[in-house]
This record gives sequence, C-alpha cells and structure tokens, in this order.
Amino acid sequence: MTAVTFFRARFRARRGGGRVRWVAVTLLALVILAAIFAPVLSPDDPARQTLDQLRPPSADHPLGTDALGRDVLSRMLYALRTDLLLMVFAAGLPMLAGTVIGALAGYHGGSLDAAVRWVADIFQALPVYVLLIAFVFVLGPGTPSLLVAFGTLGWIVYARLIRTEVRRVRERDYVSASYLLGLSHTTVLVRHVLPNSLRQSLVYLTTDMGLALQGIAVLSFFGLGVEAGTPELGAMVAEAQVLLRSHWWLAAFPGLMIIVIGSSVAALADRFNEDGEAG
Amino acid sequence: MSAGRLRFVAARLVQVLPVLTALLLIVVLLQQLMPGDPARVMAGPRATVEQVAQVRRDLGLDQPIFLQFWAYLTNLAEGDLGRSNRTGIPISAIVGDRAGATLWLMAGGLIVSTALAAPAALLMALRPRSVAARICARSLTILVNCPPFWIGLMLASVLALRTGWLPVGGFGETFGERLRSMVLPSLTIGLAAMPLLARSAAGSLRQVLAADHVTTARSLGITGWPLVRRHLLRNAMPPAVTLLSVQAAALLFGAVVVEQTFGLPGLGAELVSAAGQRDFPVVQALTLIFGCGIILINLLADLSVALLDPRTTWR
Repeated sequence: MTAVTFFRARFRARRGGGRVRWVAVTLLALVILAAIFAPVLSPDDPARQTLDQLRPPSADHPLGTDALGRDVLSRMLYALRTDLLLMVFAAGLPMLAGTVIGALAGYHGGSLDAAVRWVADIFQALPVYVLLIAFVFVLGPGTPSLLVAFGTLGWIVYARLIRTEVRRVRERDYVSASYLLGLSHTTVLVRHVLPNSLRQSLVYLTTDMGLALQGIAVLSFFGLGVEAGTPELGAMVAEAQVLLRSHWWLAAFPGLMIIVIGSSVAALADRFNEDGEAG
Repeated sequence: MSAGRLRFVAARLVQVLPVLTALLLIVVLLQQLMPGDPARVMAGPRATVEQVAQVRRDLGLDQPIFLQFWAYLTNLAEGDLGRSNRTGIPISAIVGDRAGATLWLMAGGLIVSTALAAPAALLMALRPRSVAARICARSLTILVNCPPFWIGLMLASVLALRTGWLPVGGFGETFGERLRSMVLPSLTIGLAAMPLLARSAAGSLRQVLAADHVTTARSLGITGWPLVRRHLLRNAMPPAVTLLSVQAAALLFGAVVVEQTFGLPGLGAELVSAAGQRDFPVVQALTLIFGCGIILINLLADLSVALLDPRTTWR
C-alpha cells in the first residue's frame, strides 16, 4: 500500500459521523490556501516598517500594526508559510532519514541493527527538548540549523518503528516468493517490504508534525529559532510579550493560529490512530 | 525481594551507565560542532592572535579530543562545571542560585497537572461514551496544541494585568510573595503538561478496568467510588509512577518555557539567555544537569515500580 492509497483508505473508512474531521480538514485547507496566496491576500509588505506604529485593528490594517509599524495581518499570512514549511520539513526529513536507516537495519540485521537499537535506547532516555536547545545553540540560529537539529533528534523514532515492521514483514511468505522469483535484495526491500512497513510511521508523522510545530514556535519564542525579522508565529508572540498590557491581540492571534494548525493536524492524526487500531 | 526483582534492579542500574556516557559525550562533543574556532569565539571579537592561543591553551582545546573528554570528567568529579563566558562566575554557583525557582515551578506544575488530570482521566475511563467525556477529550486535543508560552501570556493578561490579582512576573522575596508569584507559572505548566498525563492515565485506568478481578468485583455489585478506590486505584499505582517520570520531562521543559515567559530566575531562563548570548560553558553544563535529572527521575520511577509491583522482572 502506498502513502496515497493509505490516506485514501483511511478517509473512506470514516465516511459517516466525522464532523470534527471535516472541521479540521476545512481549517487546514484554509490555512494552507492562505499561506500559498499570502502575496495576494496581504494588504501590505510584511517587512515594510512605517511610522504608523501599534495601531488598533482598522480597515487599512485588519489586525492593526506592530511596534515597528508593520501590518500584522500580512506578517501572519507570511508566518503561516514559514511555520507550515518548517513543520513539514522538521517532521518529514527525520522520517526520510529514519525510514532509510530503519529499513536497512531491519532488513540486514546484524551489527547495524544492534547499533540502531543501542542509539535509540540511549536517546529515549535523554530529554529531547533540552538537547534541541543545545543543538540549535551550537549550530547558530536560522532555518538550516533548526532542520538539522530536528533531523538529528527525530530520525530515531521512525528508524525504530520501521525497523520493527521490516523485521516482521521480511518473514512473510510473499517476500520469500519474491526471492524465488530472482529479485534482488534492493528490489525486494524497496518494492515489497518497505511499502508494507510504513503505516505506523505515517501515523506517527501526523503526531510528529504537531510536535515539530510547537518546537519551532517555542525555539523562535526563545529567539533561537528562525532568523530575526522572519515572520514566524512564535517569534510574533515573543515580540508582542512586552506589549501585553496595551495590545493583547498582538500576542493572542499568532498563538491562536498555532493552535488552529496544531489541533487540525492532531484531529486528523487521531482519526488515523483510531482507524489503525480498528483495522 | 525475589530473584526476578533483584535482577531487574541490577539490570536497570547497569543500564544507566551507557546513557550517562552518551550524555557526557554529547555535551563534550557539542563544542566540536560549533561553527568556527571555539577559542576565537570565546576570546571575543577584539582578541589578538596571542590571546586566542592563550584561551585555546587554557581550555585545553589544543589537546586531542579524548584528553579533553578526560579533563572535563576530572573537573566534573571535583564539582567544577566551568565558568560562565559572560560573567566569569563559576557555573556551580549559578546553578545553586537558580535551581530553587525551577524546583518550585516543577513542584507547582506537578500539583496542578495532577489535580486537573485525575478527574479528566477518571471521567474518560469510566464513562467513555458520555458527552462530558467527549468534550473533555476534544478540549485536551486543543489544549495539547496550545503553545505553553501563549497560555502563560493569556493567563497573565486576564488574571494579572487586567485585574491585578496576581503578580505578572518575578520571584518575590518572602514566602507569601513567592507563593503568589508561583500561581500563574504553575497554572501554565500544569495546563500544558496535563493533557498527555490525563490521556495516558485514562489509558492505564481502562486497562485495569478490563482486568478480570474488576469484572468479578463488578459482577458482585461493587460500583462507584468503592470500586475505584479499592480495585482500580491500587492496581493503577505502578503505571501512575511510570507516568510521573514521563511527566518529569514535560514539567522540566514546561519550567524552561515558563521561566522565560514570566521572567523567573531559574535554570531554564539561564539556559535560554546563555544560548542567546553564546555562552557555551553554561549551555553545556545545564544540558548535562537537565539530562542527568531526567535520567535520575526515570531510574527512581522504575525502581519504585519494582518495589510496588511484585510481578516486575527483567523483560
């Protein structure tokens, strides 16, 4: 089963009574569309500073302006781009790396498998978020270091999941049959074993995207995430922190956006989980 | 103690060694990952070539890596965590100064999250199909996706800035002030850490509920609070202790975020400000301390489960 049929099957399984899922899908689609069409929808350049500082919401600036006179709605739309892209890559790259390493370890076994299990056991006992801060600090702020840090710490869960599944699937009759047909190890692994080992990882991916979103927002709130000045939701909340007394909405709206994205993704993840358990 | 449990305790103790070694290795090797010459970074932008060379010698950076590792270990054994780049204060003194606030916060967060999670977990486990339980589960999904710093700011906005009931930040001098200044941060950590705790607790309660002895008790007509107290809670204790240890990591991270949000002088705020100002020795030492703390809590939890649950054996 490929990823596409996997998702299609999951969706079809729940035709009736999925109101929450539809709300989630709609919200997520709106957010993604808003991010794609940010240049069209934005009333202003998100980086343009003006002397019109800290205006309350008005017709010209639907969400007002920030301390540097930048239009908040435009910044939020562009921030959606930053956060959605980072979220996908901060969860997707580890999955890619973990899948390759886990598949090789599970398929070949031996010392590679032992090494992967050893590393996984050790990292499971360490506080991931603290290491995340340390890694991002060492690499310096900016998008590349964020992705490297998430990748370094994130592949392990995927590798572990894939490894276990691959070991299980490898013993199936149709895999032995593939050998008898004279297929190479690479073909058997990529075409026959891996596609049947991906399900749990895909379920975890949806959970992991929520975690990545929170991680990125928190690191940016600390000033350790994206480059200074980049529109990003966590960084926007951080900038608004000192203005909480007079301009509470500057902190409220970017935070609400994080919640909307995270909860929508999580609602979908819950569905996959339930279906996975049922089916 | 039976042979199986003894074996468990011994094996669990041995298991700590590779994890600790890995943590130490990561912490020492972090320096190698830093872009550029660490000696030049630490000597500052205006240092001469001689000063940089001096810094490199002082820090032992001209030595091979395993000697650096050994030097770090021997210093550690003497309780020397190094000195801050920014202020030159010994890090052990900084830690002693700031551990208090973090421990207060973790305790506060533990109390709030447990108080909130327990009723939610009972509701979701005992009446899973009720409307209340469903609303509860949905709210947890939303709550778990609220950034903790945002929860903190919104609480502060409503409960402190608007009404003046509570202080917005700071740590306070007297015991009473300190208690008052802990209310909002504890609430924030508690709310952020509560959803996962409630969900896992509901899960393990459900498992206990499905156990044979509970079915027997129910068939004998025992329901309600007596059932919960005498047959559920006691058997749910060992998983609960494990949950608490998982919780410790969440609380620690919550403390880091909340200290930054409310301007509390704790270890987490120190970590973040040190990272922001490129103070490597402090980041290194605090990563080590937080890591050791989590390893220790997990170890204690597993050992106490072994004491609570006579069925424990090694795998």
